[in-house]
Amino acid sequence: MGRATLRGPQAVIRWGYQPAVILGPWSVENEAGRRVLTASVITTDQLRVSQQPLTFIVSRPSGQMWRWPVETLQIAGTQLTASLGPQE
Amino acid sequence: MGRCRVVRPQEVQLSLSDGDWIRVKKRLTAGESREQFSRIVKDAPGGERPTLSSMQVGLSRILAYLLDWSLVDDKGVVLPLRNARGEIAIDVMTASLNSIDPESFGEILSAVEAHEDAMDKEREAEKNVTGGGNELPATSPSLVGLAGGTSGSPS
Repeated sequence: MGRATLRGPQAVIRWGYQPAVILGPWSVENEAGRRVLTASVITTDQLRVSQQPLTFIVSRPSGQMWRWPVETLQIAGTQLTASLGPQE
Repeated sequence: MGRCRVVRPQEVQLSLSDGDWIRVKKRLTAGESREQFSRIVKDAPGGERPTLSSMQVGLSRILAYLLDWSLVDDKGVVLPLRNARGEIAIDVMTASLNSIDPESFGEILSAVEAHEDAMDKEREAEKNVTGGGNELPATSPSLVGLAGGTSGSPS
């Protein structure tokens, strides 16, 4: 099965409608049905990021939004790694 | 253990006339309530008595609650509420709200006020039943904890 990568300059992880992590440049590697997000962290809200459910959201220039549920998440310094569920 | 006092970010859709709708926050956090109030009060330099901004009356309440809506322009394009990053933006919302007719603005404000009253009553009823309510489980799960990692802000 092929490997696909999505990239973008900015995105956000939200708890409900509240921003939990503001992300700078990010990429999602999709391989064999597994989606792994890596991104640089701009700001983190410590309370919101510890809650569930979290959603990774990418705003498209058309105004459309792409959403993936966050299954696991780690932040080390300014680097974030997360595994994502199927796109909603 | 005391009750959880964190406001979970839940959304509610409210119907307007002609099939339109707005989606609003179910409840405001303390920070959102303070922001709402601060938008109404004009700066009072030099110890003067603060005054209310008539331009902000009503608008401030809508801005505090509004998340999304179905209102469109004459081309059928939904009036924007978000900035280029897709985040709710007060200046964008204000511009869109200022562009609609006064009757529609009044209808939205009435819907938000009715929603706020209903939530106040619901909250009071919960307090009476549970002695304080509990919107989140006391052991709300943590993704960071589940993943075995650590969370942190950029240094």
